[in-house]
Amino acid sequence: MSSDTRVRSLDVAVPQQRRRRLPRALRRLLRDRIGTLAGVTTVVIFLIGLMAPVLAPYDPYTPSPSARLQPPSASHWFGTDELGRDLFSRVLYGARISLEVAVITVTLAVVLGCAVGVVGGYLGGGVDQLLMRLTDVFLAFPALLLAMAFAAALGPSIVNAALALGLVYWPGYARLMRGQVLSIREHLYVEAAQACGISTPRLLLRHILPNAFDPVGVRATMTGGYAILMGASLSFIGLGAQPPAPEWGLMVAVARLYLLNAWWYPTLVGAAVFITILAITMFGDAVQDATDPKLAQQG
Amino acid sequence: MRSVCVRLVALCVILALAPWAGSVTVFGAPKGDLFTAAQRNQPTTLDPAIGSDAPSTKYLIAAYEPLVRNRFGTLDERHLEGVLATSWDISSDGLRYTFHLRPGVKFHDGSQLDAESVKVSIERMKTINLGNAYVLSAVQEVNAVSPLTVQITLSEPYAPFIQALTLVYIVSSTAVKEHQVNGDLAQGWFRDHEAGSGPYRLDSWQLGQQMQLSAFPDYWRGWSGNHAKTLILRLVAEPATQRLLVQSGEVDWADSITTDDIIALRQDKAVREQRSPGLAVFYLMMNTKKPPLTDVRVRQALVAAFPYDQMLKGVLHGLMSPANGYLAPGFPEHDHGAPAQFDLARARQLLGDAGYSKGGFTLTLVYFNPLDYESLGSQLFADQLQNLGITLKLQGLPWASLLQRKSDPDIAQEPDLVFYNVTPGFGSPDSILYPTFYSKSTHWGHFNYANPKVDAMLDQARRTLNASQRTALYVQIQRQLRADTPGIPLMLWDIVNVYSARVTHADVASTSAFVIDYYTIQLGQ
Amino acid sequence: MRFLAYLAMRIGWLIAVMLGVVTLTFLITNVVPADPARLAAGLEAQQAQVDTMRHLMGLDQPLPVQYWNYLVRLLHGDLGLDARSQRPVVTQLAEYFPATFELVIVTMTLYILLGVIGGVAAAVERGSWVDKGAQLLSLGGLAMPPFWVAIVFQVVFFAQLHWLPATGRLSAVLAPPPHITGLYLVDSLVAGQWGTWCDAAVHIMLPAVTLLVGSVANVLRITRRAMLQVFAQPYVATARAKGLSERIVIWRHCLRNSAIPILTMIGLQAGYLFSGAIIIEIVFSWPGLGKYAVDSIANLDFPPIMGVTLIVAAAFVLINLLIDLAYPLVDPRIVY
Repeated sequence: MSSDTRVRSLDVAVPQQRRRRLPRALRRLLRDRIGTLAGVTTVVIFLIGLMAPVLAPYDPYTPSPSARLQPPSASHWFGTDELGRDLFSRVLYGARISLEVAVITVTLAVVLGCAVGVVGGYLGGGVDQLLMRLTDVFLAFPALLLAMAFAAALGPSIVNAALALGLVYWPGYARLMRGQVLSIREHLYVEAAQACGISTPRLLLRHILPNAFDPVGVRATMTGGYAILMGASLSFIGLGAQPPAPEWGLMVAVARLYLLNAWWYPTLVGAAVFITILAITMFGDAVQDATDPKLAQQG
Repeated sequence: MRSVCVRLVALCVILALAPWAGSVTVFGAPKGDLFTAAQRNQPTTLDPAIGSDAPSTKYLIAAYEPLVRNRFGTLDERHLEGVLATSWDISSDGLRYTFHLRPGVKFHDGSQLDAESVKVSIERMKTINLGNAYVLSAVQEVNAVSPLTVQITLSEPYAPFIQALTLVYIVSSTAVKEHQVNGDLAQGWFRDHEAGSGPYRLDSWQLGQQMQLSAFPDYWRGWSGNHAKTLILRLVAEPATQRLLVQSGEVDWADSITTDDIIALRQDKAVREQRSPGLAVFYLMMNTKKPPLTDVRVRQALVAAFPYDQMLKGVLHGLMSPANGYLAPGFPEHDHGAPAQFDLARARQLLGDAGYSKGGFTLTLVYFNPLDYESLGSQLFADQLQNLGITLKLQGLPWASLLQRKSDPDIAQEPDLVFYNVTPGFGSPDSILYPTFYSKSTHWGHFNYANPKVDAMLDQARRTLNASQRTALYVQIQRQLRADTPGIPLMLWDIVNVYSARVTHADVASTSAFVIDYYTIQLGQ
Repeated sequence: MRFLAYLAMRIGWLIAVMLGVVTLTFLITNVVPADPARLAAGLEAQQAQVDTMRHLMGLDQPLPVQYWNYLVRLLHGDLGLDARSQRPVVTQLAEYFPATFELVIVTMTLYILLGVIGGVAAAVERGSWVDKGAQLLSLGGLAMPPFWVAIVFQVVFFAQLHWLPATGRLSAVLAPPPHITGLYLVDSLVAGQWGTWCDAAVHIMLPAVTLLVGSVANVLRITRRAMLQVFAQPYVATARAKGLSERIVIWRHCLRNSAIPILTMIGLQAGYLFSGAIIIEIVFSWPGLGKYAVDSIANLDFPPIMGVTLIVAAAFVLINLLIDLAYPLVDPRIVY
C-alpha cells in the first residue's frame, strides 16, 4: 500500500545513524584490551555451557561415595565433591545451568520491562503514571527479598528462581525503555509515521522499539551477571536449584560445609562464579564505555 | 590525587586498628566457670507450657524441672527418677497418680514448691493447649491433697502418662498469679521471663543473639564440684562457624557440627568428642495412598533399593548406625527384627512381581533442607533407583513448606516420599508410634498410613497397665509395621557431641542427645 | 511554596508506593499454599488446636476481608503477631532493625567514601594502573558471591589470623550498652563505655567489609563514568585555562556536576545493600532483619515477612526521597 512505502522511506534517517555509530564503537571496544578479553571470556563460558556434555570428562550425577572430597589430581582436575562426583565436570555443567538462568531471567525481564516501558512512555498520561508507580512498587523491594518471596511461593526450583529474578529485574528495563521512548517519540519520523496513519502497535513495534533498544542490550549483559549471582544466593538459602543439580550457587552453598576440610571445593566453584560474573560485568562496562558518546575520548 | 588516595588509605587503616587496640579480649578460651554453647536456632518462646521444639528444650532444661525424668542413658520406665517428686503411686486401675513432692525446693522467684504449683502448672498447660499439651489430654482433674502431695486423675487409662510427665515443667504458681493479664494465664509474661526451679536462672535474653543464665544459689541439689556457674547460649547459624568457634575455644559446645567436621576435629587436641546412642531414627516415609506406592511389593522393592552401606560407611564415616525398624534399639520394647538389606536383585524381582519390571515411573522425594544427611541420602537413593528404571525427583524444602506439601488436600500434589526423623518426646514407644502411625493422628510425623489393626493395638497399648503385656503389644505393632512397610528406616542418629577440652564431663538427656543437662557439666582447666 | 507542593506530591507518591508494596506482599504471601496456623500451633498439635490457632490468626476469613483487616490494623500501627513466638511483629522488628540499620549505615559511609574517592581517582588517572586497578578491584568484589566472601573472611581473619571475631555484635561476655538507639556504636559512645565501643566496632568490621566488597563497585563506576563525562565538557577546559588548581577543578567543579548520578546510585545501592545484608547476617549470625526475614520465609510466617518488607521498602523509598530532595542543593538549576 502506498502509505506503507512512504512510511518506510521516512524511517531510513535514524537507523542509518546507528549503523554509522556501530563500527566506531567496535573499534573503540577493541582498543580496550581488558574489555575485549572480558568479552572473549564471556563467549568462551557461553560456549562451555552449550557444549558441556561434550567437554565434561565424567558424568556429573553419578555418585561414588568411596572417593569423596578428594583434592585435585590428574584424574580429577578439580577434585571430587561430597558424594565423590567429579567437580570439574560439575562446574562445566554448572555453566550450562547458569546460562539457563541468565537467559530466562533476562528474557522475562526484558520482555516484560520493555513492554511496560514502551506502552507507558508512548501513551503517557494516566497509563504512564500508573505503570511507573507499578515499577516503583517493585523497585522498592530489596531484590533478594522479593526473589525469595516469589521463589518460596512458586516452590524451590532453578526455573522458578529464574522466573522470580525476572520479576525482580523488569522494572529497570521499564524505566529505561520509557526514558528512551519519551525522547524518541518527539522525533520527526515518528510524527510523520503517525501522519501516515500507521497503527499504534505497528508504530511501537517496528519503529520506536528498534530505535530504543540500544541501551537495553548493554544492560542485559549486566542483568545476566546479576541473575547468576542472585540465583546462587537463592540456592544458598535453599530456594533455588535442588540437588543433585550441578548449579554453581548450590555447590558453593553445600561446599561451605566442607570449607575447612576440602578448601579447594568451594574455592574452585567460587572461582568459576567469580570469573564468569567478572567477565560479564567487565564486558558490559567496556561496551558501555565504547558506545557512550558523551565520554571524553582518548584520541 | 595520589595524596588523597594515600590519606584515605591511612584513614581506613587507622579506623580499622583503633578499636581493635582498645577492645576487650575477644578471643581466648573463656575462663573460670563460664560455659558457652553455640546453637543453630533460638527458642521462639520461653514459656515451658508451649515450647516443644529442640531449641526450646535446650533452654527449658536449664531453668525448669519436671516431676520425674528418665535416668540418664536409659529409657526404661522402671528407671524413672524423681526430680520434683520423691515418690509416686499409681492406682491399680491406672486412673489415679499420686505424687509426693520434694520438700524445701525453691523457685527462682523465692516461692516454695508445693502441690498448688504443680496443680497450676498442669492446668495451665492443659488450658493453653499448645506444644506438648497433648500428653495431658487424658487428665481429668488435679488435686492438691496436702501441701506436698498431688493427685492427678485421668479420665481413661493412659499407660505412658508417667513417662510423658517428663515433658511437663513445673512453674511457680505465684508468678502465674502475679503476672496474669486478662485471663491469659501469664502467657505474655512467660514468653520472655521465667519462674522455674531449675539449676539456672535466666539473666538476659538478647533476641537473635544469646541467652545468659547464671546458677541459682538455692538450687536444691547444691553446687559442690566444678559446675558451670554461668551459661551463655549463643545463636550461631552456620555449622562451619560453629566448628571454628569450638576449635578456637570461644565456645565449649556446638550443636550442629557436620560429620565431616567431626572426623576432621578428631585430630585436634583442643576438642573432645562424646558419642551417645541415638534415639531418633531417620526414615523415608512412603505415601501409601498414592500409586504406585499403594502396592506393598513396590514399597518393599524401594526398601531393598536403598544403599545403606554407601550412606553409612561412605558418606557418614560410620558416625551413624543402621536403623532396625522404626524404634531405636535403646527402647526396651524394641522387637529386634532383621534390619533391611540393600539388594538390587531382590528389588528388581519385587518390582517385576508388581508389574513394573522396567520401572518406568517417577517419584518425588521431599526432605528438610538444612540437614545435609537428608540431601546426601536422597541423592544416593536417586542414583540407585536409576538402575531400576525409576526416576526420583528431589526437593529440599524449608520446614513449613515441607509440612504443607505433605498434607496437601490434593493427593496428586503430595510427594511420594518424605525424609524426616522423629525424636521421641519421652521414653515410651507411644511417643513415636502413636503420632506417626495412628491413622487419625494430626501430628506432622503422620503421612497417610492407616491400618485399623495397628490403630487398635496402639489404643490398647495405651490402656495396658501391665508393662510386659504392653511390651508384647508394641512388639506386635512393630512386626505389623515391618510387614506393611509404610516407610524405609534408614539410620539411627547417633549423636556425637563436640566439646572444647575444658569440659571434662557432660550428660545428655536420655530422649534427645542434643540436649545437655547443664547441671552435670564439669569444667576442668 | 513550589517546594512544599513538590514535597507534598512526593509524600503522596510515597504513600501510594507503600500501599502498592503492602498489596504486592500480601498477594505473594497468600499465593503460598501454606498453613501458618499449623506451624504456630506447634508440631505436636491436634486438629482442634490448629483450628483454634487459625481462627485466632484470622486466617479463616476470605482474602479481601483479610486484606482490609490488615490495612486497618496497619493504620493503627499493628503489624500482627509473629506466628511462632506470638510476639507482636512490631516488637520483633524493633529488636532486629537496629542491627541491620547499623550495618547498612556503616557500610554506606564506607562505600560513599571509598567509592567516590576511588571513582574520582580512576577518572583522573584514566587508563593508568590506578584506574584499571580500582575498576578491577571493585568489579572483582561485585563478582564474588557474598556468602563465599563472608566465609573466606571468617576463615582468614578469624581462624587463621585471630584478628577479628567470627560472629555476633559483641563478645558474649559483654553486656550491651544501655538502649537508646539500638546502635551499639552510638549507644556505647553516649554511655561513655569505651571498651564496649571498641568491641562493637571490631565485631562490625567483617560484616561491613564483606557487604562493602560487593557494593563499592557500583558507586565507583558511576563516579568514574560521571566524572569522565564531565571532563569532556568545555567548561572544564575553561576552568583550567582560568588557572584554577587541579584540586579545585576536580572537587569543586567536576564532582559537583557529577553529583546527581552519583547520588542516585547511592540511593539505589541502599536497596541492594539489604539483599547483601540478608546473606551476611546469616553467615555472621548478625541479629538483624535479614536473618529474621529468611527464618520467617522458611516458616511461611506471613506477618513478619510483611513487616520486614514494609520496613525495608519504606527505608529505601525514604532514602531515595531524601536524595531526590537533595538534588537542588547540589545543582541549583533544579527547582521544584
